Order: sequence, then C-alpha cells, then structure tokens
Amino acid sequence: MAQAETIRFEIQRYKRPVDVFENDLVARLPGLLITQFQVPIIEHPDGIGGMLALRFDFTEEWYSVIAFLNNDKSPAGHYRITAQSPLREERNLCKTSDLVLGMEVRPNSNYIITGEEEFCAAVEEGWMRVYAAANAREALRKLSAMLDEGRLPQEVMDAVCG
Amino acid sequence: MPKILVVDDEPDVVKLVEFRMQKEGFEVLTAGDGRTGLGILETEKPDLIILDIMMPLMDGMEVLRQIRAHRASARVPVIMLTAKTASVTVDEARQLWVSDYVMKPFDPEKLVAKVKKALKLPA
Repeated sequence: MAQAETIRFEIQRYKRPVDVFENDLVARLPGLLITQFQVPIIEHPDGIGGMLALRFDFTEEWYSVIAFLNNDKSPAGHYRITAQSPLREERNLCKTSDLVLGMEVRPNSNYIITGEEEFCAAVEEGWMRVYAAANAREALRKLSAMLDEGRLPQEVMDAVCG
Repeated sequence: MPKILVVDDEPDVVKLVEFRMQKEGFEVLTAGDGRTGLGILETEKPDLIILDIMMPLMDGMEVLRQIRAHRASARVPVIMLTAKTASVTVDEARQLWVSDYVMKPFDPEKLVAKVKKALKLPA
C-alpha cells in the first residue's frame, strides 16, 4: 500500500514554542492545501479526540479551517477556524503564524469567538503586526458573516460534504 | 547565509534578482505583491528587503510603512527598486529609513554592490 505523502507544519504561536507536526496530504489545489490527521484523544477528551480531521490551509487567505469527521467520514458539524498568516509551502514544509483569534463552530451551527483577550495582548505587546491583526479581524468578520448564512468557505463544503 | 526578501510585481525582475542574489550565496524569498510580502514577514525574518515602489494591491510605500511599524522589522535594511523618481516619494522613503535606491532598468551588479553595502559585507 502506498504511504501517504506527509506535510510538515511549523506554526509560530504567541507565548508558546513553535508548533511542529506532520499531517498526511489529501490534496494540493491552487491556493489551498488539504491535509488530514487523527485528533489525539489525550489532548481532546471533549468528544473530538480520536476523530479524523481535515485541515484546510490557504495561501492567500488569513485563516485555516479544521473540519472534524465521524468514523464514517461524514462531517461531525464541528469546525475550528483559526486566524493565521497566508500559508507558505516549500518542499513539503509549511510555515504560518497563528494570529490567536479563532472560532469554534458547534454541530448546532452556533459558534463562539476564541482568543480575544490574548489577541489584544499580542497586539499591545507588539508580537503581532497591526497589519496582521487587521487581516485576522477581517478574516473572522468574513467567516462569521458566512456562518450566519449557514455557510463555510466553498472549498471546505466541497471537500467535507462531497 | 543572509536572507533577502524580494517584493516586486514583475516576475522577470523577481527571477533576475533571485538568480543574481542566489549566485552571491544569499537565501532568497520572493513575493509578487506587497500583501504577500507582508504575509511572509509573519514567519520569516529577512536580513534585507528589496522592494518595488509601484505595485498593484498595495504600493511599496504602504508596504514600507507597515514594515517600519513593527519592531521585528523596524530596522531591517530596505532597498527600493523603482522607476519612480518623484522627489516626494524619495523624501518619504528617506524618513522611513530606506537604505538605498536602484532605478529600473537596473544593473544587477550595482544592485549586488548595494545589497552587500547595506548588509555591511565585503564588496
């Protein structure tokens, strides 16, 4: 059986060490990289632990989306959106910077914004560029407008819902 | 190995500068517009930036303002690569600590010399 191509991620995080991990490549599309990984149970005892997840990283957008899947690979309705700098990929190494703000979307389509206080601190302390902060805010504004209409980015819908 | 970020909307210029800088042993990052260039600065810390002034989406002066607005890149040497000679632009760029200018069309050897000077490397 052919082994899946792996993609290495290096994500810079505010007040945390650089996060390094590897996911399996699902698809490399123009402007979009889709990878998958198994959610560690020990880190997520809240129902999503052990699930398969699809990660969508965009090269021209300031966010990523993680879609969690049930055992039969149907969408669990749980999504995690993170503001981040546009993905840079070089020879299967992907780099981005986590811009702290995020959204947790529940199966009932409700969502909460996460990271507000830490985001403000990151900007005030000069860790985050004002330019990046503005793009992070704009990304979440755009996505919350989509969610209010019951949508997600089309690429995510296409991949998750078939 | 010093790392250089080249931001220019003309692909041929980017390729030429990339080739010439790599020949000098520099690591080169490239961006075809200012937004992409600023996105790269979220994950990379170049030792020098070569920046075109006239670009679509976000012009070089605005990119330069954003570069200088953040402490991580406030003092990175910037060489402006431009056909624009308006004195108001030159004055504004000077206030934003531009290390040097190269006028288009440019001589790659002169650009290399200015890069080495800005990086305080032997000619």
